[in-house]
Amino acid sequence: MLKSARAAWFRRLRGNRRLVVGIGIIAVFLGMAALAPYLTPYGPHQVVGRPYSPPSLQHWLGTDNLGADIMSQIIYGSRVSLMVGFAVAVVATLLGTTVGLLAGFYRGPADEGLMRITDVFLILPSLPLAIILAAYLGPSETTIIEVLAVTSWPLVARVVRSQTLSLRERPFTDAARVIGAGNRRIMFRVIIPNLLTLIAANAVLTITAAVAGEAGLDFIGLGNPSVVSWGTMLYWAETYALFNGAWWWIVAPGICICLVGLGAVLISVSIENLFNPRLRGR
Amino acid sequence: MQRSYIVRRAIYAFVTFLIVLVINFVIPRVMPGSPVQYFANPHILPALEAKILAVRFGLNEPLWTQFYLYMVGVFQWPPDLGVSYMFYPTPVLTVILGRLPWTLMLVGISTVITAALGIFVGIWTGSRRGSAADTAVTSASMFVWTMPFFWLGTILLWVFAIDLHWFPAGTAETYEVTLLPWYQQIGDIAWHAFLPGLTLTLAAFAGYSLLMRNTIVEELQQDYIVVATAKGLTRRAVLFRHAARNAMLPMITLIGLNLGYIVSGALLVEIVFSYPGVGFLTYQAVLSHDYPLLQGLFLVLSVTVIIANFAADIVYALADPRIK
Repeated sequence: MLKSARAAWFRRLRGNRRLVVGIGIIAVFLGMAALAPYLTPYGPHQVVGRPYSPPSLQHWLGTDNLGADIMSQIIYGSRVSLMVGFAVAVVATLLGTTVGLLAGFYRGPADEGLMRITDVFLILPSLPLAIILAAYLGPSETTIIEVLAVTSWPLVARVVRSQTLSLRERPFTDAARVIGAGNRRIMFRVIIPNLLTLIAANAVLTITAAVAGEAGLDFIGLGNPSVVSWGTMLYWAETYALFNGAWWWIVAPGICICLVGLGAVLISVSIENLFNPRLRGR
Repeated sequence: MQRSYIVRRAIYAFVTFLIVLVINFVIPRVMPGSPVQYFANPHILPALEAKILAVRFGLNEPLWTQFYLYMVGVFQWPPDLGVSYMFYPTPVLTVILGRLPWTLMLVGISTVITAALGIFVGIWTGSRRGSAADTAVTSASMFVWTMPFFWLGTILLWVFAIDLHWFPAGTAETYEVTLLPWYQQIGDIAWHAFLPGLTLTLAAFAGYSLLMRNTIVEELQQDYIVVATAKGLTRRAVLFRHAARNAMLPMITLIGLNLGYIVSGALLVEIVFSYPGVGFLTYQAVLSHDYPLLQGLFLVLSVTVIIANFAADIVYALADPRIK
């Protein structure tokens, strides 16, 4: 019985084209970040051609205002952009899950207090908050990670709380309590395992939001402009490419951000479909 | 509508406002550097003015005194949020209120258009779930959804303003606009707002249409739809008078919640198009380290979003008869 259920689950997994495509896209970018020095002969700042050369066989994505290879910048830039994305997702997920879990599990005044704070952060316009924090802390990638984590956790907390509220009323939670499990055991052995799918689906979405958010903060000059990331590429492109017709310089980083976003959305949607029978076949 | 519900939401909005005030007060004071340096810097402002501001806001006093004077400043009329460095000697609030109408217009009009479009496209695709049209529109929406606002804006700016010269690349109105008759002034403003507005609409559209589609799909499986169909109602009546009305509720919540996100997006879009709203002002304030102005901007933007959320709550109550 259990075995056939598992077989069916794997069949769905294999038949799930969206998940495969999503994981494929993200894997390509992760590989790019990991293998950067082996994938391109040029350094990201190395002058290797004429300024503003359009895409050619030698420079697939053309060159920038100094004659550095855009493809190499995209490859090296993926390191910072993805690193920021993952770091933000980890911090925001840990923080949001803790708050949501505690609020949903203990309810009462703890829930009331925690959710009030969460709602305030949810309502606050995230970019202005990020901008003033970054303005004080000074431009750097660490600042960007901190700032994006501060603005991304509330959504996670909300989602985790509502699911925890529902999980703690389920028969299996009652069963655990009847056989004498304490609060901590119920939280770690019953509630958290059941939350994992939801947390994973949300963490993937947080990565997308963070990659785009990083680019946005870099774009307005709150990142470190000498670090190569997709955001700082757009920051320089805004200054130099726009009036020099260097479309490749603007298009390339943006497409990469979109693709990472697309991959993450596909993964997130598929995870939810795999584990939520109500959504199957949508 | 129930009065107690409105009162409760109003109290809730006010508490949120108070928490925002505290956050706004605390941030500069937990950062490296002193409040005097941030809000009354004698190297930037005239020495006498800096001294007056430092005394006025108690910047050298203990934290509680500072907080008290800060609250007095916020709750007096007109609110005193300090003096802008960049636009000295104009008060922060005056600077912000001068720019706010542009942003409100941009965000307001594009939100109305986006929500209306999203609702209709969502109903259309949701009622044709699985068809080729649905798949095409839904995939395209998801792809546009992943685009960062500012990048989409940069592409539009570059194609339609710099390359084709169809639209202006920056500013909100032509310099000599006040010399024109009123209908040409409106045309001029619309012409300048078109690309930034289009960017916001394209970028936010998918969020609405995808939610509307999913809710419609869900509603169409409910029993009351079967009943309505069995009564002999036309497909159109079932869809619009029954399913769509119920599907509107999550939409209203989303429109309210989304406003913070749209305001954030509008800030970046304004920067791309050098559109003189509060977003571009924020950018200028960051570049010139105008901390009093930055704090004021954060406060005013937060208040705008809180008010908009409160309005969404009221509309929700009007639309949902179950709310007591």
